[in-house]
Amino acid sequence: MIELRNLEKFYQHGPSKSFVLRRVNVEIKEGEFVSIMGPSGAGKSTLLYVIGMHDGDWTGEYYLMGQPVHKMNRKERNELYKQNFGFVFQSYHLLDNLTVAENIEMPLTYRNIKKQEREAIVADTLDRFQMVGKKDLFPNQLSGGQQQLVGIARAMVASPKVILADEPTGNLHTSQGKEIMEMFKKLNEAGTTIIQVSHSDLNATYGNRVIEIRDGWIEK
Amino acid sequence: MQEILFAARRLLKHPLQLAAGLLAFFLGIGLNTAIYSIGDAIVFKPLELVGLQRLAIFEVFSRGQQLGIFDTSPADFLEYQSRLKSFESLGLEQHWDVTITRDGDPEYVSGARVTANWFELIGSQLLVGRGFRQGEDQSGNHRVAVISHGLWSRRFASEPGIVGRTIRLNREEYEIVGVVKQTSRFPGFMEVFSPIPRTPVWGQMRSDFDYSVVGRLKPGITHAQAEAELTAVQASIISRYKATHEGRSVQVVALNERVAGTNEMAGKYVRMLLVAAGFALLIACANVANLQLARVTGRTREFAIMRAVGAGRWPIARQVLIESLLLSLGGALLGCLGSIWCLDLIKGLLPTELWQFIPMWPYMSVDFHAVLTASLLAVGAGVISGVLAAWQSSRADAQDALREGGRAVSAGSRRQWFRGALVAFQMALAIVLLIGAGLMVRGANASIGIFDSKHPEQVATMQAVLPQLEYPNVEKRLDFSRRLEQGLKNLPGASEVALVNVIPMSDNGSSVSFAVEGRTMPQVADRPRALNLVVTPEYFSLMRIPLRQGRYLSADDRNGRDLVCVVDELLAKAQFPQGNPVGERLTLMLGETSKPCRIVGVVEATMHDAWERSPRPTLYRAFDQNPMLAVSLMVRTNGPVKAMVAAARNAVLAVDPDQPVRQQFSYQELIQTTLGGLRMIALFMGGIGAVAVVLACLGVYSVMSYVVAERTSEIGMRLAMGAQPRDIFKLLGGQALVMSGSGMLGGLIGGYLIAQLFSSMIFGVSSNDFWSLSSGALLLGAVAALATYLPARRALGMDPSTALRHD
Ligand SMILES: Nc1ncnc2c1ncn2[C@@H]1O[C@H](COP(=O)(O)OP(=O)(O)OP(=O)(O)O)[C@@H](O)[C@H]1O
Ligand SMILES: [Mg+2]
Repeated sequence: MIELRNLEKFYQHGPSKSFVLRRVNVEIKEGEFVSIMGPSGAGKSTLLYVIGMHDGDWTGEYYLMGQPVHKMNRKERNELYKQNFGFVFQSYHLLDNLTVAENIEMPLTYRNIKKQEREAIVADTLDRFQMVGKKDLFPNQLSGGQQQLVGIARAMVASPKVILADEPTGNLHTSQGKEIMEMFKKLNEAGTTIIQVSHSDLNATYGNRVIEIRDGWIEK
Repeated sequence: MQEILFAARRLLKHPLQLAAGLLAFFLGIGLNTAIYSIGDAIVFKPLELVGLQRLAIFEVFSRGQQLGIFDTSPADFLEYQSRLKSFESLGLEQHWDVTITRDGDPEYVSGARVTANWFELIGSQLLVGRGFRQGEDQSGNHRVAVISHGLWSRRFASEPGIVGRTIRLNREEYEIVGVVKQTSRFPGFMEVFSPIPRTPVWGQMRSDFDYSVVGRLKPGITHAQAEAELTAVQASIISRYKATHEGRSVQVVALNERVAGTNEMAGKYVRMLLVAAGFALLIACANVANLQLARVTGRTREFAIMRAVGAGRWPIARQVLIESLLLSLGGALLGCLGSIWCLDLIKGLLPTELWQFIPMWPYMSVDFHAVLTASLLAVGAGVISGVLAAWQSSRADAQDALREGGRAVSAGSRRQWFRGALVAFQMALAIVLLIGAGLMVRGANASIGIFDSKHPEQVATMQAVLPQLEYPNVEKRLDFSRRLEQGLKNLPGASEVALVNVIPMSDNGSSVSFAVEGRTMPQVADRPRALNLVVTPEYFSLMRIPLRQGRYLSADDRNGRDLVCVVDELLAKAQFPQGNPVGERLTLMLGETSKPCRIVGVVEATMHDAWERSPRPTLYRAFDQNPMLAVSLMVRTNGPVKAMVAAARNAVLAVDPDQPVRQQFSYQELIQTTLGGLRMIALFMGGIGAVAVVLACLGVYSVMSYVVAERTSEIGMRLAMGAQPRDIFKLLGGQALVMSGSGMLGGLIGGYLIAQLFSSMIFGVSSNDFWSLSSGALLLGAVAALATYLPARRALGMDPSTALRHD
């Protein structure tokens, strides 16, 4: 499903290049649950952003379901991203002046879906995440774990094929983190491909594969 | 000390912001104090006279219609002097056209005849010699003169032994007794002062309304009190002299309001400029406040961290305070430089013809109090908004603020609302200023261009005032005007030649009251008045004034024949609403005498004075039948006008080699000079408007920059949720639209009101101008949009990953 070939990324520091990703060859199949691990500054987030097409400044080849992303312009990538990806942040990034339901609805407003249909989808999602009772609360009225659940619900609402998550449990207690991981597992079992960046070996056990990255090099 | 260094470093970290803040200070304070200094020079401290605040001048009205400050008779004055208790002393002044001969070229200067107490009364400072002594204002003792410092240095090379020398004025000898300081004269443009040659008959003249009264109020007496007393005295005069005085009333006006002009326009315009500059200062203050708010709210997390490590609220507030003070003081300093620079610029802008009426103009300096006030305001705006914002953000629960960044994306809607309101306020003020300035510029252009269709650029003009002594009778004057007219007609290239007593649009004019023969004679105050123009026959064709009925004046309307006149259609309509005025006879009241005259024609009405909003009823009399001492000449040529001006000057000298002339211009230049004040005001207004726009756009830009910076993580998140750049642009644009849009709406409403007000005040301004100007105001909207677009584009140009890493 996702295939990176000889992918490289560097920042230019004056005359010298400092590589963040080096000759990365990765293949991720549909339905996998992959954990990207490695020390701080190794390039985990960068790799995730490249996969998520948030970062367009790299060389090499990237095929998404056979389509050559490296040959696409920004607009085409955006379109492809919209159809296939959802994103979960370490720091949730909920809008604090919107209710839980409105936060979840937000990605749909960018996808040409009619209001009525959007409401139906949001209602479904709230149901699936068992948050119907909290739909009218504001983010600051929720615990961190609950906020991250909203974050995941928001990432799922547009039915993406892949969920990208950058340290989704980084700001949470172990017990809350467990809850989030269970949710990912459930989603994965329902067919969604999941790629998460993680620091914790425990979290990695929820996945079926680990990609180790060190100084921009894939370890195995 | 260390803290100051830190503060400076923090300020320097955002050089653009810093520059924007300093620019706001520079423009706001600089412009404001410069305009304030102009206000001082024109209205508030226009002269250096001891106790200027207590000096008042009498303004005369007839049936509520303003006649002006030169409308008191000698007998009335003497009665005021003996009966009014509100004044320490009263003085009388009359304009006196003076020709100086000997010691150089003949020169025409403005002079004043005054009562002997004049210089003590107004508190003048004499550089050399003395003022007038009691009794010198009696005929026979009156051959003494005080000259201005300017005349002394120009004509006498500041010769030390000037006192005691004689000067030849209107071909009579006067002894110079003193030299008066340039900025200590009233009227401020007079170069020669001499006592009124009073005679017993003079004191009896009850209706020779040709003098101006100045009084010094007793301490503690207000203008209103003095006016009440004056009204009572006036009532008693009216009861005794009904025929001539019925309907006359007198107001007591502060003298400083009538220094730069004989009417209230100068004061009005100066106040308008001050209000406009005040607006600009407010915009600058809003800018500074906005920058401070943005700076501080951008540091909410930093403050929370400080609180978390145990800092109290005071150290945080102190940090902001030091920073604000540093910025403000630097700004104020720049503002001082700005005001000096602005004032220098302005001083150089005004042509000499104009500033001769503003004695203090060359001595204008930056008003320290104005700088202080403006700086305090701007510093206050910066410091208060900064510290308040810091106080508020430090009050927020430290933990909450710390977690805010981690837990959710803050739109910080309340603070943004306030900053948005500040920007809206700026935009509104800027648009009001812009529309006001636009109207002024239009008015000025309309006034200046009013005669364009008459092609004034092809007409040479100049003015001569014949001295009474040399031209005591009609024969001499006739000889002068006939020879001059002939001489001018003989000039090669002269296509049309006219002599006229006062040229329209030259800020001069005389009026005459009249009655229609065969109707009952109304009382003085109820008699119709008309502009009194005395012209040679070619005047009408030269000025391109079409005939409506009857005939123009002709060369046959000569001295000794039936006295005839031409009236304009306004007079015709007012006096002969249904009949034909041609053939009717008028009785003209000229001072103490009256003359009959027969109407031979009606011509189109034409403007005479740009300050007026429309033409006034006009009477044209034949120059040959009424030879005047004031002779202005106009020569139309198809060739170069400069050469014609020089040739016409020589033609005057050929008739009388001792006769000076003034205002040797093309007619177009004459109009431009006359309206120079209006043009300057328009220019200043335009300048203020431009500064306002710059400041307002700066405000929009800086706020939008902060908004974008603040919403960076939100933007990243939205992009990650599938938003397109277009969506983000809509989001930011919407915010900007609400902000600038509401401001523009407010500004347009304000501008509409201003247009209504101005259209009733200024010639050439119609309230319809608002519509075309408001589209110009939309230009500001476009600039504001650009100011929004630039920071927004930065947000769109960045890779989402940068935005996402932002938190
Ligand atoms: N704008 C940039 N300019 C230069 N170098 C950068 C920039 N952004 C990131 N880097 C570098 O890229 C490298 C990889 O960063 P990345 O955020 O991917 O690391 P990470 O593995 O996610 O670390 P962490 O576990 O701390 O989140 C780091 O060494 C970082 O210094
Ligand atoms: Mg990372």
